[in-house]
Order: sequence, then structure tokens, then C-alpha cells
Amino acid sequence: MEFQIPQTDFTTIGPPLVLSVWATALLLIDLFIANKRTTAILALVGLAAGAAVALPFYGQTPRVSFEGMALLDDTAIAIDWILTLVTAITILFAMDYLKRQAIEMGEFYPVLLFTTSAMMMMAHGRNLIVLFISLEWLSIGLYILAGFAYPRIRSQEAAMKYLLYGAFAAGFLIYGTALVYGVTGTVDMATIADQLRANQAMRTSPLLLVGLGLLLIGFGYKISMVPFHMWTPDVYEGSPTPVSAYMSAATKAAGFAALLRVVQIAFPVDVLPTWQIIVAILAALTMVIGNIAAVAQSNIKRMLAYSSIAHAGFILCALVAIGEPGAVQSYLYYILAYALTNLGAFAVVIALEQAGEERFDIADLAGIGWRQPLLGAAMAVFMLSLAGVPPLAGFFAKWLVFQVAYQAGFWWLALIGLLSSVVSAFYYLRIIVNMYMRERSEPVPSFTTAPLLLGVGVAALLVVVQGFLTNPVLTLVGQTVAAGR
Amino acid sequence: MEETLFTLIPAIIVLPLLGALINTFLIRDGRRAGMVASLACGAAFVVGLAAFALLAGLPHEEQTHIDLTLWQWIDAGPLDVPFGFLFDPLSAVMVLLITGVGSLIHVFSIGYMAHDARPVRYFVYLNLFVAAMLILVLANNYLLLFLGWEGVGLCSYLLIGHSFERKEARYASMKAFVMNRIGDFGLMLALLALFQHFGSLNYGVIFPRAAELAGQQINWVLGPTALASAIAFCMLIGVSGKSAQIPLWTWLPDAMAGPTPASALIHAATMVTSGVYLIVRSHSIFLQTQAISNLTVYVGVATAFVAASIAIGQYDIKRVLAFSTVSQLGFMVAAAGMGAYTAAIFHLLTHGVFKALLFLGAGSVIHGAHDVQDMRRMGGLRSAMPTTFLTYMAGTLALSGIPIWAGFFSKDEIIGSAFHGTRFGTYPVSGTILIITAALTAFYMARQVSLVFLGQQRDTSYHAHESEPIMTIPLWILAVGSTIAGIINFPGLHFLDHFLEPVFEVGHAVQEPLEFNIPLAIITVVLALAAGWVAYQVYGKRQWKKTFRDPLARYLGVFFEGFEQRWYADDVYDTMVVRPFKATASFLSRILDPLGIDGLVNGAAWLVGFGGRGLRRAQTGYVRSYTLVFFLGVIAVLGYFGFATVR
Amino acid sequence: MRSIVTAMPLEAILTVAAALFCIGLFGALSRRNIIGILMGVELMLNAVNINLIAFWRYLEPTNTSGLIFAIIAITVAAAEAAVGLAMVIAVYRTRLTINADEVDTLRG
Repeated sequence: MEFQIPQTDFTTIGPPLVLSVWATALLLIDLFIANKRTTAILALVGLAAGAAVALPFYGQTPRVSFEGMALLDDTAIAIDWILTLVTAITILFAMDYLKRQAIEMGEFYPVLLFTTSAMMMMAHGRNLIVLFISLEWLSIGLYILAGFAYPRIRSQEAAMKYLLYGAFAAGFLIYGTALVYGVTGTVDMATIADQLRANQAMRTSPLLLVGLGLLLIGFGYKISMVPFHMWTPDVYEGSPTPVSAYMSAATKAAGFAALLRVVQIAFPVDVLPTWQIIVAILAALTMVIGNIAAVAQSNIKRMLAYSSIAHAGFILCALVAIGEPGAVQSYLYYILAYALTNLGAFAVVIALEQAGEERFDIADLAGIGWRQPLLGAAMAVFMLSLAGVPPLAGFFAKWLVFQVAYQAGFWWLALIGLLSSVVSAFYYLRIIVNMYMRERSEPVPSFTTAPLLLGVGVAALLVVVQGFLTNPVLTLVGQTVAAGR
Repeated sequence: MEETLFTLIPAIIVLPLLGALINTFLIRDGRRAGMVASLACGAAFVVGLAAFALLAGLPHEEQTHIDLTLWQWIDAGPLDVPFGFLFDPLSAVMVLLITGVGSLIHVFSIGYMAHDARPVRYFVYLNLFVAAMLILVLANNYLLLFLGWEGVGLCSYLLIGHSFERKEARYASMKAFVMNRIGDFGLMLALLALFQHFGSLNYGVIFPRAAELAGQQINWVLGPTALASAIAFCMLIGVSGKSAQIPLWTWLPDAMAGPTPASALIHAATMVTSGVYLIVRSHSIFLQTQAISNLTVYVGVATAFVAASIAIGQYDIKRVLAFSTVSQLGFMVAAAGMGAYTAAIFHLLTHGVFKALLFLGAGSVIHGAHDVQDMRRMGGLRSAMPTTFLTYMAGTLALSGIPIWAGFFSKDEIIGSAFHGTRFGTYPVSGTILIITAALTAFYMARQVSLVFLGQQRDTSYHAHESEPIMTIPLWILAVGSTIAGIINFPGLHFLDHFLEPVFEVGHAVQEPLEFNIPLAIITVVLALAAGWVAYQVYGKRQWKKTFRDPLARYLGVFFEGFEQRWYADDVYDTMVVRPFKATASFLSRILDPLGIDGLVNGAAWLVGFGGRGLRRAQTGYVRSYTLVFFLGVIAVLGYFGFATVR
Repeated sequence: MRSIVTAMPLEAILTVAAALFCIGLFGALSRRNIIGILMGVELMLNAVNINLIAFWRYLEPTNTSGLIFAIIAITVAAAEAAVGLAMVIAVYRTRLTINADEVDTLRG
């Protein structure tokens, strides 16, 4: 038998490939770098290179390679860029933080890049095996990052809980994959859809539906879908704050990318609408429980964790309606708006954190709005955007997802979403009240350094601009949405 | 000419924004900030006036076509929303009211806020508010309207909480914001439904096709409903939040914790009128549903009467005016519900002028009396503050509906419409209640003037003085306005009727201008005069101690107590009827008082986010219990799929 | 020659795998020892591997996806175990316990 080297188009996984290679190199180069700030800057360069690789392919016809395992379309590129932006801002946040916490080790940045490239692969994958490997790959990176502040007992605990929970969830995910493979005989997502289209009996096969359910759960836990969310507050609270910020923004984006691929390519609504109702129910639960639990929190990091759960519910509203025109755009728009906003919101926590000490109580924010005007203003923008006040990005994001949900006939989902976003106004406003309308006899010292302010500034600016120039952003995130097939 | 208009319209909004920007970044001095803010708002008024003149010069049928799209805002799938403005006669008169009255209030504020701790910030908020309100009235689609709608809510929150050192200011600002959010939720739901049907949120698309809504059914919360009714009902929720109607009205009286000129601008002349504006703007939709239009009338009439009766029992000078505002908004909402749209707008305009005057006058009194607000501690201020007294009288006469002053004409037109009938028929009962309410209005205003200005000063611990010219000049201007503003829709001339006609032609809602009903006018005026005379006899003739109990309490007993306690609305809300409100209130008190010292908090703190605490308890910290919940979730999801297959 | 495919129905193997999965699941849920939990999870993964191999062998012996997936799953499980065991050692060093229920400072 003649052995043939398959024709492979490496550009289909361009950005993650560049990041991986760069991260490997950086791991070695770092050994010869004394000033870890240089490593950080080199990591930023790698990110820029990764993002640039995809540029020529934006707006082109989708490309598929690696025997149909990898895909490069505009959705993937949009996710790549969102992830690049989030990771870059995380690096800016981490630079001085790591030093202050005496955990400045060069490995942080390569591990971050590896994780990011795994996340990108979740958007590029068109095969269940690829999605599974990417998920595990990014999880292992995150376990390490969560435990990075090893002198802190809480950081270690966060890593351990995340690991146990993640490994447990992975068991279900792979079981689901195996069942889908068993029924359809393939792990290629496009082929799965073709099989389902051709075979009426397959669509009602219990094994297939169980497999689909486990797939949704396996990815759903990464985006903190209720009731698979319980790891979120503990892990966000314990992890080093830049890592919490990164997890809340990037991991969510990646998890949503994977979910999108699963329901967009493998189980399209027109073929198998069964999953819609259960995801809608879970979305409603996620919104309600996330928002209510956030109200009772006094720790900012936990509050932001619950808020991130609540927002996952809002984004799921668009996933439910994914068959509607404009749904993918709304979905991606929300992910971008949410990622930027939540990322920025963590910055003020980072600025308050001293070496060894933990200052996360909402009361510690008292008066910060006046002492750190730029940081305070940015935080106010983030909170208002999360609360969904126009004209900030968060408002349009909410509007778009509720509108597509309504359009798809899930008016009750939009109704619950609107009501729970009324509730959310409380705890976001509480932050603003504390920052501006309170004083503290002994103000908590805050550390704002140039990189941190740069990161916050970029995020705040984008949140505002995204609100006013909604249209260009929408165009950017979803030109050829149907191309995934 | 249209090109000129296209450049003028964005300028109207940009000018106040510019003022806010300059004050934020360049100005540190309070007085100078006031000048900049006033100039910005004044310039917007001048530009608005020019645009108004140009618009009035256009041929009749072109007046509704000044539609300007600046850029494409959202274009996601079928949803396309422009960032665009519509300058038609309705927006034009609103712009003039907002910027005109707004400028005077800005100028007044320079004097009033002279001793404030943070005047610059105050003026920034004020300018931002004006800009948001202008966006609201100039928008050419509902989403942009919603932007302004939320914007004014936010600015109102900032202004009410301006003196946040005071606990009630923080509390009131949160309350206002949250109640407004509840209203916004209704509006947003209406917009979703509108979009679902029309595939657009542009006025230009929706209004000509509004008749389609009549026959449509929609499967909503309570089974199938007529689509037009569902949409109008959701809008009514929004109106009730923003225009302080029953049941979402309790935030407005509390909002008096803000600086008085801000109350004049926001809680009298502009923001609270946006609900009325929304109904009038959406008249094509409301015309499709008799049921909700009737409901609107009843809500308005009930609010008008309840609020007026409460105003009788208040001792705080600003609270009387606050309830009076709620009551007058009830008049407008009722008129809008009846389909008497011009009457609603007419009253909106005149009320904007004379209520601003009254609030500024009250501000002048408070300023001159060194922050005393309790009317029992006033009395006899006529001699110390002659200008304030004179101008205040003009406002009082206008509000009480005494002929030649503006309120007489506009209020009479509303009452006249109720009896004369509109396309929805006549509303004799509502009309009668409105006449009684008008008499109550005259009563509480005469009571207020008697207690504040007449007699002898009861509390002599302070020395009252007249305010400086920068505050009295706006008062004079507004006093003249309150006296002559009736001319804009003078019976027989009907300037406003004719000017607004093109707007209502779109929805086929043009009404024949109402002829002046002389017997009705005589009844109203006689009743008002009689009520005023009684109040003068009761309050103006006698000497009171500074802690007197209102004499009406003796005659009216429990009723008066009910008025005094605002019909127990706050208590009812706080205890049983509306659970979320309870959670809100206790929650707010908890975050505003983290030590939990306050007795109120101790009792209620436990209820705070009741569910939130339960959820916290579920988060045990044991990773094994988390995985167990995960497993239960798996069983539930798989159970669903199993169920779906069997079915 | 009698191959396994003819000797034993697919359902039997799937049942064994499901049983193994449940045993692993029970272990992961009931053990307090962190290593015990990790072993339970390993068992779950191995049950899935049996599934994958069985599907491959019975349904599509020419398409090797299932086979490869099983190998990949083993690799991933090994990587996860490596990190997990390292973490167990770290936990033991700071807290002198590997009881998962005693690692509960983060809650609420």
C-alpha cells in the first residue's frame, strides 16, 4: 500500500499553531531572561503574531483541512481575536501583580499562551475529538494557573477543586462523545449532521440523545451553566486575580465557541430541535440563580463570579435561538461585550490587592472612585455595562440576545431574562455606590501601574465604542455565519 | 432649508454634551461651570428655536418628514436600527420646553448651588440629563428613544444622590433607579413585541402600519391577547415608571432628596413627562386598543386624585409640589389615554413652565430660609421675600386653574375632552373626578401659600432673605410665561392644535379643535376659587404654633391621616403587596447601612435576598457536594431527553 | 474462526462499560480521599474507552476514529493524573491531609 502524506493546510489552525510554537520557544527563552517583564512583552508579541496570521483569511470562504478536523471561518477568526484581546489584557494585568505577590515566574506567560491556543482550537475544531482534546488541554493549563499563587492556601484549594470537578466533568463529556460516535459511526461533526438528516430513526435514538445531553453538559460546565456551575465562585475567589479575570472572560468565550460548533454544525436546529427546550430551561435557571446569588455576596470576586454565571445564562438565550437570522452575531457580540467588561471589572480588585493580603470586600472599595479617578470611572462603565444600561455594549448585547430569543418563540425566556436583569441592577449599582458615595476612615491603598491602567483603558474604551458603533462590531463578528458547515 | 435643519438638529444634542465634557475636563470652579452649562443649554435653546422656525415655515405635509440618519447603529440579521433623529412638530415643542425651561433652571442653579460641595459635578449631570432628554424626544426609532429613556433615569439617579452624605438621598436615588428599571422592563418588552411584528423599530415603519396590530393575537402570559393591547399595556408599565403613575409612583416624592433646581428640571418639567410623550408619540398604537386606552385614563385619573389628596396632608414644601406633580401628570396621562393628545401636550407644556416656576420658587424659599423645608416653621415670608412671593403667586394661580393664567386653559381642555368626548367616547365619571381634583389642587396650593408666605413667621430661629438676582430673574421670566402661556392654544385660535396636526395625521388621530365649554369652565373656576377661599380661611387667617397639627385632621379624622401617610402606599408596598419591593427596600437598607444598626434593617435584613442566602448555604465548600449536584443535573438533563424520546 | 463480534453482542459490552462507569462514578462521589476520587474518575474514563473500542470493533472496523480516540483518551487521562497527583502532594504539604472535605475554606 502506498503511503500518502495528506495535503494539509496549516493556515486553518494558524493562530493557535503560532501561539503554541511561540509558547514552546518562550518557555526555553525565558530561562535566559532575568527581567520577567521582557517575557511578558514577548508573549504579547506572540499574541499579535497569532492574531495577524488570521487576518488575510478574514471575510474569505471558509477553509477546512486535516481531514475535515480543522476549520477556519469568520466565526473562528472572531473568537481568535476576542481571545487574543482578552489574553493581552490579562498579561497587562498580571505584569505587576505577579511581582507584588512574589510569584513572578516566567512560566506564567507560556502557560497562558498554551491555554489560549487550546481555547482557539475549540473554535477551529470540527471534530468531537478535537473539541475534547482542546477542552482537556485548556483545563490542564488552567489548573496550573489557578494554583499559581502557591504560597496562598486558597489558590491551591481553587486549583484542587477545579481539577477534581473538571476531571469528573470530563468523564461525562467523553462518554457523551463515545455514545454519539457509537450511534452515528463518526466523530466528524458535519458528517454527524448529514447522518442525522439522512436517517430518521437515528434522530430519536435514545443513545444519541443521551450522548447529546452529555456533550451539552460537558461543555456547559465550562461556561458555568446551572446546575454545573458550582465550581465557579470557589475557583474564581481562590485563583490569582488576573487568572480569575482570564477564566471569566476567555474560558467562557472558548466554552461558548465549542457549544456553538456543536449545535451549529453537528446538531442543527432544523434537524434536531429537541435540545432547544432543555437549554432554554437551563438558561433561565442560570440567569435567575446567578443573579440572585450575586445579590447576597460581599466578596467582590465571588460577586463577579456569580455575575459571570448570570451572563452565561444571557448568552445561552442566543444559543437557544441559534437558528434565527442574526443569532450567531448576537451571540458573538455578547461574548465580546461580556468578556471585555468582566475582564475590566476584575482590574479594580487587582489594584486593591496587596502582597499576601486579601482585600476583596465590597466595603474596601469605599472612596476609590475619588482616589483613583480613572480606575473608578472605568469600573463605573463596566458595572453599568454589565447592568445593561445604554449606550454601553452590555445593553445592546442584552437587547440582541433577548430579541433573537423572542423571535424564536421563547418569549418567556426573554421575559425571565429581562426580569433578572432588573435584579442585577442592585448589585452592580452597589459597587458604584460604594466607590463614589462612601468614604472610609482608613482607605485601602491601591496600586495602579501603567500596564494595568492601559489594560483597563483599552477595555473601557472598547465597551463604550462597541455601544456606539454597534454595527461595525456586528459586521466584524459575523460576516459569513452559515459557513460553519 | 432641510439641509440647514439637518445640521441644526444634531447641534441641539451636541451642545449640552459639549458643556458636560468641558465641565468634566476643564473647569474646576463651580460658578464658572454653571456659566458654561447654562450657555450650552441656552445655545441649544437658540438652535432649537431656529430649527422650530424653519420647521414652521415648511409646508404642512413636509413637516413630518425631517428624518435624519446619522449612521447605521445596529444591523444584525433583520434588525436594523439607525442612529437617527426625527424633527416633527411634536419633537419641536418638546425641544423648546426642555431647553427653554432647562436654561432658566441652569441659571437659577448657579445661585442655588453656590455653597454646594460639588457644584461642577452637579452641572455635568444637569447637562447630561438635558442631552439624554433631547435624545429621547428627537429619536426616530424606539431603540434610540430607549437610550434617552434610560439615560434620563441614570442622570436622575445621579442627581437625586447628589448630596449622598445624607442617607435618604442615597436611598431615594436607588429607589428611583430601581422603580424606573421596572418600568423600563415593561417598555423593553413592548419593543420586543413591536419588533417581532414589524421587523423594525423605526417610527416611519411602525406607525403607518399600526392598524395591522388590531387584528393580531399573541399568546402571552395570560393566554391569547390582542397584540395591540399587549404592546400598549407594556408601554403603560413603562409610562407608569417614568411618569410616576400608580403603581410605580412612590419614587417621585422621595426623589425630592435631590437639589431643588434638579427637582424642578427632572421631576417637574422634563423627565417625568417622557411617559406622556411616549403615549402621544405612540398614539397610532394606543388608538388600536380601546381597552388599554381606557385603562390609561383610569390610571391617570386615579393617580391625579390620590396624589392631590395626599398633597393636602403634607408639611414639606417640596413634597406638596412633588405630589402635585404626580397629580398633574395624572391629568396628562388621562388626556393621552382619552385620545385628547393635543390637550395632553398642551398641559405638558404649560405645566412644565409653571411647575418649574413653583419648584424654583420653593428653592428660593429654602435657600432664603437656610434650608428649612417644613412649612410649619415658615409663615410670613412675604415681607422678607417679596419677589419670590409675587412670582410664586403666578405659579399658584396657574396651577390652580384661575383664568387668564396658563393652567386654566390647558386643564380646562382636558376636562372638556372628557365630557365632550373623543373617538373613544365620553368619560363623564373621570371628568367629574378631574374637576374635584382641580378643586383639591386649588385647596392645597392656597394652603401652601398661606402657610409659607402669609401670617407671621412661626419659627424665628433663622433670618430669611430674598435670593440674589441670578435666581430671581429666572423666576420673573417663568412667572411671565406661566401667565401668558395659555395663548399657545387659546380657545378659538388653536395654534397648538394646528401645529401638531401633521403628527396626528399619520395615525389618523386628528381631533376637531375643542370648542370652549363655558358652563364647564365656570363650574371649574368657581369650585377652584371656593376651595382656595376655604383654604385661606382655614390656614391664612390664624396664627399657628410652629408644631401645629393640621386643623383638617380634626374634621377629617382617619382620612386626613391617610392623606398624611400618602394612603399608606409605601407601607403597603413595603409589607405585603409587592414582594420584590420588600426585598428591594430591605436590600437597599442593608447595603446602605452595612453595620445593621438601623432598627428597620435588623428586622428586614434577614429577608434580604432570601434566595441569595439560601444559595450561599448550598455552596458548602465541599467539592464532593458540587459533583453530587453535577450528577443530579446530569440525571435531570438525561431525564428530559428520555422523556422527549418516549413522547 | 469465531471472532468476538459473533460470540458476544455489542449490548453486553456496552452494559459492562456502563456498569464500570457507574462504579467509577460512585467512587468519585463517595470517596473523601483525593486520590480515591481521582481513581474513580480514571475508572469512568476507562469505561468510556471500552465503549469506544467496542463501537469501533463492532460498527466501523475500517474507520479508526474510535481506536484513536481511545488512545488519546488514555493519554489525556495520564496527563490529568500527573497534574492531579502533583496537586495532591502540594495539598498534603500545606495541610497535612488529603481529605477533600477538609479543603473547604472557599465557600458561600
